[in-house]
Amino acid sequence: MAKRKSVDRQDAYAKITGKAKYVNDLFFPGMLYVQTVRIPVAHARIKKIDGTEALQLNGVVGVFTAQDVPGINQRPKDRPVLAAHETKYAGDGVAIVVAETKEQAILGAKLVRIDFEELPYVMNPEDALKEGAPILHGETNFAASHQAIKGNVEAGFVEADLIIEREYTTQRAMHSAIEPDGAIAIPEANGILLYCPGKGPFNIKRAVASHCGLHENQVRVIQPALGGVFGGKDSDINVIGARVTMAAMLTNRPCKMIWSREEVLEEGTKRHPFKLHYKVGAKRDGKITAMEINGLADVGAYLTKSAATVWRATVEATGPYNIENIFTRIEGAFTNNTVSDAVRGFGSPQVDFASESLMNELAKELGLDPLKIRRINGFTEGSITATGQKLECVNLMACLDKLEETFPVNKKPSDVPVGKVRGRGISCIFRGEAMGAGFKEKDAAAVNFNVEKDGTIVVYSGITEQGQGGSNVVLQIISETMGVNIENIKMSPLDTAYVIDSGATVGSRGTITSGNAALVAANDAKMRIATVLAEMWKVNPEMIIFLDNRVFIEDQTHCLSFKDAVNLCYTVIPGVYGHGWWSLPPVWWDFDSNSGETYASFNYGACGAEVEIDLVSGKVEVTEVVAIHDVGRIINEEEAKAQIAGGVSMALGLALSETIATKNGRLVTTNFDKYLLQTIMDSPNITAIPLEAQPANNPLGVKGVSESSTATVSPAVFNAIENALGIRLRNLPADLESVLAAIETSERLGYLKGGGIHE
Amino acid sequence: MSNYFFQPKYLKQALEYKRDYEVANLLAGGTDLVISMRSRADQKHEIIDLSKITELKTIELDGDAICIGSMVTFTELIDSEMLFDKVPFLSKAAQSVGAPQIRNRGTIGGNICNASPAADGIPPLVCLGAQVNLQSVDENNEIHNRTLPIEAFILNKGKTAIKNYEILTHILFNVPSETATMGFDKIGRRNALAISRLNGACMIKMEQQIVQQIRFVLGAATSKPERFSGVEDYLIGKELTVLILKEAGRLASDYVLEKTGRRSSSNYKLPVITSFTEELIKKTLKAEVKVNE
Repeated sequence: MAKRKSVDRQDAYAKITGKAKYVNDLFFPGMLYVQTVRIPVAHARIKKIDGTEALQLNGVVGVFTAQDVPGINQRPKDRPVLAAHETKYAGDGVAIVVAETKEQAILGAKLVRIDFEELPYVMNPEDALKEGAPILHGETNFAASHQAIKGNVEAGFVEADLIIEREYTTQRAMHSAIEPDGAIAIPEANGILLYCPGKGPFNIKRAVASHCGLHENQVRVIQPALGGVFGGKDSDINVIGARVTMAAMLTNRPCKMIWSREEVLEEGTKRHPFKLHYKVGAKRDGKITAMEINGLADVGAYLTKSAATVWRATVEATGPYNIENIFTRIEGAFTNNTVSDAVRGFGSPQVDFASESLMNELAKELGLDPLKIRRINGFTEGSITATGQKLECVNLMACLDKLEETFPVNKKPSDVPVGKVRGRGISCIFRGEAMGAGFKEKDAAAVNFNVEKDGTIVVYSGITEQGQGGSNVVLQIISETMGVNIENIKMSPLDTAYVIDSGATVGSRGTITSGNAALVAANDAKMRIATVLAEMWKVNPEMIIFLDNRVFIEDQTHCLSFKDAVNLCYTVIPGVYGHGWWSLPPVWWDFDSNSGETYASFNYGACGAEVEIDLVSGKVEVTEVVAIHDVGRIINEEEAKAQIAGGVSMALGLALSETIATKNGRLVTTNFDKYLLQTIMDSPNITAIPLEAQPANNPLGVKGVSESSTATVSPAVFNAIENALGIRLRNLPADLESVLAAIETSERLGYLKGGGIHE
Repeated sequence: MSNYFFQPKYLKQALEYKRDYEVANLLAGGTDLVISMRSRADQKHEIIDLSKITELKTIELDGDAICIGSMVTFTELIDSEMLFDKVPFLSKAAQSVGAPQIRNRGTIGGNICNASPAADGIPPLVCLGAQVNLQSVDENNEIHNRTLPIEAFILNKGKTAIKNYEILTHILFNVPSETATMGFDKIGRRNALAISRLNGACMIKMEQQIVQQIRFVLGAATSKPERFSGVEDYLIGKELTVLILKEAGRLASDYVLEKTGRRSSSNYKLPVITSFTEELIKKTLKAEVKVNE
C-alpha cells in the first residue's frame, strides 16, 4: 500500500486562532453559577448542613444537598453526586451553592455552615487492609482483585538457576488537561441539554439521567471543543454534569460549573498508585522460568473503574515475555485519598515500569545485555500470554530491531560535561487494544454520513475529538475511499441527539473502531452511487473508479465530477449516504479459570532513553528519547508522531517530577506550582517512530498508540539512571532527593570514582 | 476585592498615594501579589500599580555606578547589553527566573520586596553590595530618600525594612573591578518555572592564583540570601585547591546547619550545599575575565 499523505487537521485552525468554543466560553441568558461545598478533612460524618446564611447573601438562589438529588445519588461504593452522610476524602462535595454570579457562588459556598465529626482516616492501601483500619465501604477496604495463573509457578522457580525479588512503587499523578472540567445544563421543554467536554458523551448522558431521575432520552449532551482528556473528563464530568443538571432542574435556569485548577486537584480523579512485588526465576542463559507478581493499587475513596484498571494491569503485568509459569495477583484497596480512575495508560504504565525495571535487574544479575534478555524471552508470533491467549500479529521483535538500529544501548555517551554522568536505558512493552474482555458489550463504533447536493460529505461520528486527531482519521478514510478531497468532508459537532453511541473514546480504540467504521460507511456509499451509475453507463458497478473528486471508468468513456455524480443519483434514488458499523473481533474472560482472550489485538513498543545526571544536585536531564510503536498501519504519520511525542512528554513527568502529595489527609499539592509538569525547557530530543510491521487483524490494519506511548518511558529512564550510577531506583518519580541519595551510595561504593561510571 | 486601584504615571503621585493609603499593596508586576490576592480573596486593600511610572524603568551607567529602576523587568535586565557586559551573573540570574511570561511581568524591585529566600534576582545584588533607595513623601510634600544595603534591607523570609509609606525606587551598585569574575547558579526541580531549591552567586578577584577578594552568597539555604562570611574569610589569601574548596563547601554547609537546625530537607540540602559551593566557586573562576576595550 502506498504511503499515506499526512493531512492537516480540520479542527486546528479554530483552535490556534482562538475561535474554537470551549465550555467555559459559552454563556446563556439567565445562567446561574454553581459552586461545590466541601469539608476540608479526609473522612467525616456529616451532622448538619445549614445554608441559611449563604441564602441571605445577595445573588444566592439556592443551596442544595444530597437530599435534593433528584435521582440515584450514589451506587454502592461509587461516587455520589453529593455525599449524604459521610465524606470519604477531602474532595467530596457535600452541597452546591447556586448564584447569579460565580463570585457570589464562591462566597456563598464559604457561608454554608457544616456541622461535622472528623473520623479516623487511612491514606495507605496496605494500612487500609489491616485489621482495625477505618472502613470506607461495607465490611472491608478490599475493592477489587484479579489473578492470572499459568503453569506451575513453584515448579518454575525450582527450575531456575537464579531467583530475584524486587519491589517497585508508582506515584499518584494526574491528567493535567489544560482545560479544567466543567459543564452547563440548560432546562428544556422535556429534559436537559448539557454542554460538557467528555470522552464518552453517551456515558455522561446515562450517568446524569440516572443521578437526576430522568429518562436517558431526556438528557441531550452536546460536546463543545475539548481542551484535553488524557483519560480524565470521565467520572469527574459525570459528577459535575449531575450537579449542574440538578441545579438546572431545581432552579429552572441554565446552570454552569467550571472547576478551578485547585478543585481539579482536590476532587478530580488521579492515576492509581501501585506497589508491585516481583519474584522472577531464570536460567543462566537468560530464559525466564517463572514469575510471581503481587500488587496492590490505591483505589482512593470510591470504586469508579478500578476493577477494570486492576484487570488490565493483571493481564499485562509480566511484560511481553514468554513465561511458562506465572502467578499474578493484583488487588485494589480503598483509602481516603482522591479517587483513582482512568489516566492515559489505565494501569499499564504502572506494571510496565515495574516489569521493565525488573528485566534490567535480571539482566544485570545474569551478566546479560538488556536487549538480549528481551530478545531471549520476548513474544513472537503465536506466543501464549499469562492468560492463555495465543498472540497474532506480534511485532515486538520488529520494535526491538528498530530500537537496536536507532538507539544502540551500549553506545558510550560522548562529551559528558564535568560534574555529570550519562547513562542509557531501554524498555519494551505489549499492550491490549481497546476495551477488551473486561467489558461485556461489543466493542463497536458507527460512522454515518450524508452526501449533500453540492458534493459535501457531512459526517457523524461518536468518537470524540479530544486533541488526538481522531476526527481527522475518520475524514481521511472517507476521503481516501470516496476519492473526495478532505476539504469537502465535514465533521459534525458531537451531539447525542443525532450521533450514534459509539462508546467512549478510551483505551486507544478511536482509530481502530471509528476508522474501520468509516471504511464500511464509505464503501456503503460508494456502492450506492456506483449502482446508479453502472445502470446508466451499462457497466459493472465494480468497474467504477472514485478518484480525485471524479467518478469514472478506466477508459474515461464515462466520467463525471463527484458532485455531478451525486446530483445524478438524487434523480434516481432518494438519498446518497453511507452507513457503517464496525466492531472488534470477540473477546472473552473466564473469571473462574482466570484466563481468556483478553484483547482482540495487542500493540508493541520499545523505547530508549539517555539521561545526564548532575552529580551536585541529583537533577536528571533526559537528553534523548527514541520511542518506537507498532501502530499496524499508519493513517497520518505526522499525527502518529505527535501522539507518540505527546505520550513521551507526559510520561517524562511521571518519571521525573510529577507527584500528588498529602499530609494529614489533605493535599499538599494544590496547584501547578507544586505539581511539576515537564516544560518545553525540560524536553529531550524525542524521536517518535510509528512502526509499520505486520498489519493488525482489522480491515485498515491499524492499532492504537495513545496510551502505549506513555508506558515505555519511565522504565527506560530508570534503567538509564541505573546505567549511569550503578544504583537502582525503584520508586517513581526520580526526584532530586532520591537521585542524590543514589549518587551518594554510588560514590561510597566507588562506582563514580573519576567522575563517572563510564570513565 | 480592593477598594481602590491607583495607576499613577509619576513617582511623586505614587508616593502620595502610598502616604495616604499606607496599607495599600504596591503592584510591581504582580507575579507574587496577584497569586497571594487570589488565595486570600477576602482581604481588601488598595492597590497602587507602579507599571506606568517610566522613572522607575531605567537602567543607567554613570561612571562607575549602575542604577536600576525598581520596575525594570527581568526581561529588560536580560536584554541590557551593558548589564551583560558589566555584571553577567545578574543577567544569568534574571534569565533563570520562572518563564518568559513571568520575566516579562516580574520586576527586580518586586523580587527584592517580596523577600523570598529563594529569589533568583537577589544573590547577585547581595554579592555586588547593592544598595536600595527608598523614597517617601511627607505631609508637606517633601521627598525623603534613604538608602540601605540590600543585605540589611531584607530582614527575613518575606520581611523587609521598608516602611509602610515608602516605595523602593532603585537599586545602586558599583561596577565590579575588571579583573573580578562572577558566577550564578541554581538548582530547580525543572528547567523553567522552578522555584530554586538552592541558588547562589559568587564574585572573585584573584591575583597570582591567590584569592584577593571574594563574595559568596547562597539563597534558599537560610531565611534570606546572605553572604557567607565564614566561607569568604576562609578563602581570602588562599590558593583554590581541591581540598580548600572542599573545606569551603563544608563551612557553607555547617553554617546553614547552625542557622536552620536540622530539618526534613537537610538530608538533601546539606550535602548539596557542600558540593554546590565548590562547583559555584569553580565555575566562577572559569568565567571569562572581561578584556579591556
